[in-house]
Amino acid sequence: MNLKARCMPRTLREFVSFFRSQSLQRDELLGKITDIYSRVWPCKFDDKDLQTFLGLLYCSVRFYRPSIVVQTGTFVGTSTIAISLAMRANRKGALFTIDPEPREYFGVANPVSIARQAVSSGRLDAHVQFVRGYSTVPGDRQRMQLPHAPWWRLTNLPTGALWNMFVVDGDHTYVGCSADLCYGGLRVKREGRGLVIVHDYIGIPDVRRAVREWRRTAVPLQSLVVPSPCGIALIQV
Amino acid sequence: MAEDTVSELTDLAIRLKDAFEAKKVSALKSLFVPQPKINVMGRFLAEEEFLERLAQFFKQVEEPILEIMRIEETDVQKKSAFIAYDVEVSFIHEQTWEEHTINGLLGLSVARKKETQRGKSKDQWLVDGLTFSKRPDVGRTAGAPQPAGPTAPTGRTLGLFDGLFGLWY
Repeated sequence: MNLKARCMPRTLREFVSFFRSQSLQRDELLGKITDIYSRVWPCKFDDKDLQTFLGLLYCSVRFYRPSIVVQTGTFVGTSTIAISLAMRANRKGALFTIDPEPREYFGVANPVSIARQAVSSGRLDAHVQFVRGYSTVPGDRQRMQLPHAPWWRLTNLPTGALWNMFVVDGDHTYVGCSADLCYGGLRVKREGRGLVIVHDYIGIPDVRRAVREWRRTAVPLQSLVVPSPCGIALIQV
Repeated sequence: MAEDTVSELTDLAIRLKDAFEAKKVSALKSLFVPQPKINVMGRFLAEEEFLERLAQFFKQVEEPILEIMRIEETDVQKKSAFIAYDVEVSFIHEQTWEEHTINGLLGLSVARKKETQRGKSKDQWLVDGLTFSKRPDVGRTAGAPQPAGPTAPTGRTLGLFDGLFGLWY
């Protein structure tokens, strides 16, 4: 077993310094993502919150060099692209991104098919595996019409290796987020040191409550919050 | 307590919350009568000092949140009222990204005052007294491991706010 890869010994404090030093690389990242999406789906990346999230995902993968990243919530795939671009730069890593693939989400028709096109257009297929289904059970009825799709994908992913990083951005209800953290976050913790990243920690009170309660039971090594209106919780377990 | 009074006092609390979360000192000031009584963690502060400390505090933190958890006590009279809220104040240190959460009791003494805006005068509730006191974290028992969560003691951050916004600590 590669003990070095398993332990992810770098601290979150070191990561904060690294993130701050990478402003140029983050700008370049946005340029690359914009270029990829210009070929598949017209969209803008001028939202500061989205920029921060994408930059943070890219930098965290570059910094921690995870072998396996699991993500809940694909949507149109911008975060998938950010993670996989970092994996390509690392020359290692596989991303499993789980989404029930609704016909419409936030007014966007077939968002995950856009994500698939973007991954292909960016020639990032080697790093990304799309997993259709619910991470645990369907619950986010307020945000979308829930499609028929397999349940519990989080617990039976064919990852075949250690999870080093878990990105939670799927079901934004209290129960859904708690379930993702219980099953996904604890798997990262059980298998060695790793990082759990939760989007919308500040913007959605249910998410904040789920994270806070999970943190009490999981007793992470360290926890920080990226200051942005949506807020991104970084939890090293 | 009349329905409209409840609604007005709730509105005042929401405006206080919004001003705090938007880091708008001037908006906060507009909710107070001139020279209100302010006591934070047992320390009396003049209005100017309180607002100055708040302004300094807002420069150092991001995403402050004032969560009103519940009303602890109300005493509403015709022209005045006292309301105590169980609140949770949280914020992120802009440099370290550490999150701080403080559970506290926020007491507001309010009075109905005549305000003139654009030549029209109307009654509205204004804060003539504010108290804030920290409460111990609920559910944390002596000897239990400290979670590395919002209130993780790091030494550095507690010291940082001592001179800056010591009223919280």
